[in-house]
Amino acid sequence: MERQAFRELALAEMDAVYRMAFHLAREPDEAADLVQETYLRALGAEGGFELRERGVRPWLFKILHNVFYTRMDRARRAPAVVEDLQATAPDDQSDGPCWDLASLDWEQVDQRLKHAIAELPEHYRVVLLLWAVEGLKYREIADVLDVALGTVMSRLYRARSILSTRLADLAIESGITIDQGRE
Amino acid sequence: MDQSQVNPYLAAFADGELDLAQNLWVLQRVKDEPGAAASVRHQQQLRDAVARAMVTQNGGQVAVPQPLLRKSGESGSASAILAPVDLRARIEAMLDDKVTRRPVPAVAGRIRRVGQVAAVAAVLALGGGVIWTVAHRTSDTMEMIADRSIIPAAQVTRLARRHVDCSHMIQRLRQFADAPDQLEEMPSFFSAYLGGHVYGSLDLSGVGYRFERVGSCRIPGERGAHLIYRAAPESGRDDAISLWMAPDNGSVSIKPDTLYRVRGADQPHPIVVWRHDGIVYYLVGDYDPAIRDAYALLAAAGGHR
Repeated sequence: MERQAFRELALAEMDAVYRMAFHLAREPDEAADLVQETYLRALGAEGGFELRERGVRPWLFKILHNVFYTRMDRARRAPAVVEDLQATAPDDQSDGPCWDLASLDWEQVDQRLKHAIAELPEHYRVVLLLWAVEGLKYREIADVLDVALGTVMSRLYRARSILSTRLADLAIESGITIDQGRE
Repeated sequence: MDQSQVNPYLAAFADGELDLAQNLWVLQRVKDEPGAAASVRHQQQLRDAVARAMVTQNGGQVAVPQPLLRKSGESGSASAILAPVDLRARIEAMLDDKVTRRPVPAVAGRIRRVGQVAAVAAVLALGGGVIWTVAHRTSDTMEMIADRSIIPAAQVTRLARRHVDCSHMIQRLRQFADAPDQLEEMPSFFSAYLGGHVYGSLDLSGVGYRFERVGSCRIPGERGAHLIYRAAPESGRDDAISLWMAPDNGSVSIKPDTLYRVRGADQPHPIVVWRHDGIVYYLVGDYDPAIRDAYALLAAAGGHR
């Protein structure tokens, strides 16, 4: 790909990359550093990039993810055991409650969700953000995080269940009758 | 398959992630179980709620995220999380630099960049040297040990990159809130800040480099100062030097008052490091003789007391 074309593609994704970096780092200066490092590495690896249907965004996210976890001195992948949707769910993880969110006050939902998302385990939060904020498909998320597709499905579902449970209090306060999870 | 195993598939169905066979299977469940449809709707709403909550920074004005915009065709408000303007400018400058700069061999490229070296090289050539020895001029009094292992490779890379970034975009430096404006007042300030004895003078004008700006920097550690110097215009060069100072807390295992090379003179941004009187110094430059001269000048200044 021509350098100028790569430049334009990469720059067009900067807001998305920064947004993701902000949610990972939770601090604007660190997010800016992450983004800068990501683009530096992207430039270095430009020759290996192939433009496909997915565009450059998942590729940049993958680099960002690697930069973030390298800096955090963690393994790039979360638990070594692949989570299998077919496996029996742990006893303490019930499905989240189910009700019509449209009847809630959105401002309150926003605040509660922000807090709840911030408190999610890291590997759930990253999947959630890639999916909900950046609109990546499951397969793209699996590629960014270098995990199995089933792992993405599992983490995403569990993250949503946790959030749904956190929002249940708000629903009850608002007088909304909720179904406390499907057995 | 029990319900706890089915529900993730309902969520994936709500996300449009299932293949045809899986979709048909879920649709049959939705048809057969009254609660399944509600569960699918709830998952869709939850996704929208997460997206709208996380695209904005302060949760006040709500921005409709791009994935929803693509699907719904609605327009969004304007308070989404966006890359800061200065960050965008830095990265654009970085990309422009990569796009416009033609690759040149390391030594020849450095000579071209510094401009005036042709005259110096001619003198040395007349003296019997060859052009590339300009970058390898040695001082009889300067002991230097080449050791690339004393600093983690990642940190070396970060130092070089930060030098490039900040010298190209000086605003990148995060200035100290209470540092003095005058260079001559900085040794006492940074001695107190870093907990050691900084050299009595940080002025490099004697070797042709003017001080531009100082900022805080965490690359060498939790507490550090990064000074940038630019070649004086009358020198005919446009290169820069970065000087980092950090407390000597034992993290850099080298002999005191001995110069170590951690990035070679043949690299685009050579790096040297040394310890003196409670401070660890890192010099990064675009031109190897410049950092050698800078070291010699700093060391000659002696410690601040």
